[in-house]
Amino acid sequence: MIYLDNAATSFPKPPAVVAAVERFLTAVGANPGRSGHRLSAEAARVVFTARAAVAELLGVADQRRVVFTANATGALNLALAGFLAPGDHVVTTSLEHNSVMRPLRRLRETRGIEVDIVCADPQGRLDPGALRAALRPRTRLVAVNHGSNVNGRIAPLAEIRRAIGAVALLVDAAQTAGAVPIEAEALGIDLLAFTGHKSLLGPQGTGGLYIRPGIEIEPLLQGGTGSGSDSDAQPAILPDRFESGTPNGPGLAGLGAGAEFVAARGLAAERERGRGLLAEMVGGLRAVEGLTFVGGADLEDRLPTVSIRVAGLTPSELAFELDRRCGVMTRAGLHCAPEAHRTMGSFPDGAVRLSAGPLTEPGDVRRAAAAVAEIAAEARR
Amino acid sequence: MSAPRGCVVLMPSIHDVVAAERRLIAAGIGCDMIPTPRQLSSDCGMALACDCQDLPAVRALLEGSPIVCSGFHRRTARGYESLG
Repeated sequence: MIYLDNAATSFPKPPAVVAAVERFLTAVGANPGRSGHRLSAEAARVVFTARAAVAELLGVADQRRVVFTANATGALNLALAGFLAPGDHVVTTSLEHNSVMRPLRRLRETRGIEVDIVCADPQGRLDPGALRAALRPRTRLVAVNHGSNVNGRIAPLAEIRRAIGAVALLVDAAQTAGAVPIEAEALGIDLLAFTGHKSLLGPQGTGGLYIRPGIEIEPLLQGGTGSGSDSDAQPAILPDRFESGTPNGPGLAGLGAGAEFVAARGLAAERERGRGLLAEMVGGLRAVEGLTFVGGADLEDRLPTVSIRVAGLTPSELAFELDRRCGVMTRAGLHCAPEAHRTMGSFPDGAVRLSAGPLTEPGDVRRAAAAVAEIAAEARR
Repeated sequence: MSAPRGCVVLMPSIHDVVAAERRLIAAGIGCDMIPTPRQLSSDCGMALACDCQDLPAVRALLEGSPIVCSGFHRRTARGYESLG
């Protein structure tokens, strides 16, 4: 079995992550910090540890400004709906996932915000100057994808930050948190959404949003936080303001362990490992007759994520054959990013995406490339 | 009943309570996370109890940190005395 669907969610997880989830479920279990007993205190420590570990990896000094959500989609909805007001103008890109595109459409319809979409080139490269050119006097937010979930292209955040001046910057780091070094504070990022279950190696159902000091956003949920309990007003303090309701204790236990695993390896090392996997994957696939790369076959500024098409097979046929015959698990289709596929010339049929992850071995991607070659050869016959 | 520590530090968020606990433990100062005393706050969360002899050191550690404290209190025969 070769799992190459890490851009959807990473698998497998390190044993330490499994152990942390099990420990929470069997030995902690309580509602973090809401009650006064020892297990509630221990659960609070678990959540604290996860927040501290994630904040460290994201280059955030004040851990309270990392608020947990159910996933990156929850974080992006919080950032967009919590920040934007009627009349605001937003600049975003053609590489965005539907977790950005759909909330923006909803806000266009319900709040009258205006959105301009800046097109990347067919290789998924963004021109920071084009983002700057799209700014208007009423532009309040620029929302960019840090790593494309279609071809793994990494956006030049520092150049984008410089290009857009003082306009607030929202970064969708779903594909990059835990995979590449990100210094959110040093880069001047205002809002950064991450998922816990991809390269941070936590369980599904975890994610969060970094909120820079000075950025005011409204919570989407109100409710119990264990703080300010004498009032029906939502607390102003972070992280409580954005974390109403019982948190995902088991998930956050796993996220903390995953983030510590990543930190122990080191983000720079992880980035190099990703480069090596990408080179193996592209190198193996280049030789396949009838194969085309969606979004390019270069090795620059990319995560180990590659989208391909093979002559004579639809993406779903190729993905099915890879899975059924060769045990190679990939993802076919539009990857919830139709505009990105339009940009790369693969809309509406999409592509087959092979995405390596933190626990993928070079041999896995070599065998996957060989499997693609075998199926492509058969399709030509 | 075990004898409770005599001083209580309130913080607005459980995050700060755990951060404070870590800081005190690292400094070798004994402390306990306790249910927030009802006489001090109607929060359903937790507070940090320490021995009053350690309070000057606790204050120095916490007030010189990003941890937000909303009050220091001493337990008395009639309830709690605010120490600011």
